[in-house]
Amino acid sequence: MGDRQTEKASTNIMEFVVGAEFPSTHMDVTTDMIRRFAAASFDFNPLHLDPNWMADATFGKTKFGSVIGHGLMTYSLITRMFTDVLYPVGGWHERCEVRFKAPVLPGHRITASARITETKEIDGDLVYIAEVVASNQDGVVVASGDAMGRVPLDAAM
Amino acid sequence: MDGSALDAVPSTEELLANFETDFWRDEKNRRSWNEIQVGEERETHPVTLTLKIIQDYARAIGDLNPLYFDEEYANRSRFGGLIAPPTIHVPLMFLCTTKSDWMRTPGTVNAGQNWYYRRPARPGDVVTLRARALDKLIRKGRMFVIHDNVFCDQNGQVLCSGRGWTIRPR
Repeated sequence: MGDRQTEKASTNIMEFVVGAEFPSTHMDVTTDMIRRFAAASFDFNPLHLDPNWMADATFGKTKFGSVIGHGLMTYSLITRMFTDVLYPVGGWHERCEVRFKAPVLPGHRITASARITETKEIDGDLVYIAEVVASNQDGVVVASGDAMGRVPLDAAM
Repeated sequence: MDGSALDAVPSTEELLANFETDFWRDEKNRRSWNEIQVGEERETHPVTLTLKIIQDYARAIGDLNPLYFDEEYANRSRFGGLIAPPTIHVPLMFLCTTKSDWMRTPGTVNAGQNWYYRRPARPGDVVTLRARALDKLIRKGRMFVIHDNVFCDQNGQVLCSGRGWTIRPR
């Protein structure tokens, strides 16, 4: 990210132009964090909670060998990246689509990032499309997709 | 929603107190990939969204946005009061469905999701869910179900609408 964008990120303001990046968000995943997410989301799937079962369970050809983080925990990290920027400037996070590509495991640092790829003016709003990636500390992509949001035109530049 | 349906809304405190957290317990009552009927509605019930559900979820995702926590700030915002984060549909899906719902099947893997957000959910909203399986397929030996979920508030206004893919363990 360039200096100018870093400076803008610090005030939670960015330009909504093609190529602009949203200030990234990250989370440090632990078994405790996954348990807290399970309790708050009411998703108690043993995939996320039972290390003994996960040590041996196979899913088709896949064996995770450990509990895994909820996909929607990563999805929520991605969503926060957008609302952090949009809500203070009167914007709206309108849509997000991701595929989960690789498991999120305890010990991972997951970083979400997004870059605007398209913009369009619609009825006084600047509507953008952004490509979205979440990766772990080794650069492995755990989720990718795109998002759409809007800001009033006078807040977009 | 008419008055009689709202009368049937369970108390959220009771719902939370009785929530079955052992997803193995009702496994025999849940549909397998082959038993899931495409197009059929999943059984759901309305849930009154509380500030506690909202704030517990926001804390769990590390999102301390004042719109979810600071009433004075939220009152002054264009939303005119506290709201829930967009992804409040995550706990609401489990709260609005039953313990025999196949989304609880142990080993269900989330392969991807897309959500469209119309308006924010708010504390006190009586949220309803319409949920279906839309499609089933097998790809590279994996059994997928594609589902859709539409959440509405007590006025029948759509809050958000989503579609997802899960890989079925059986």
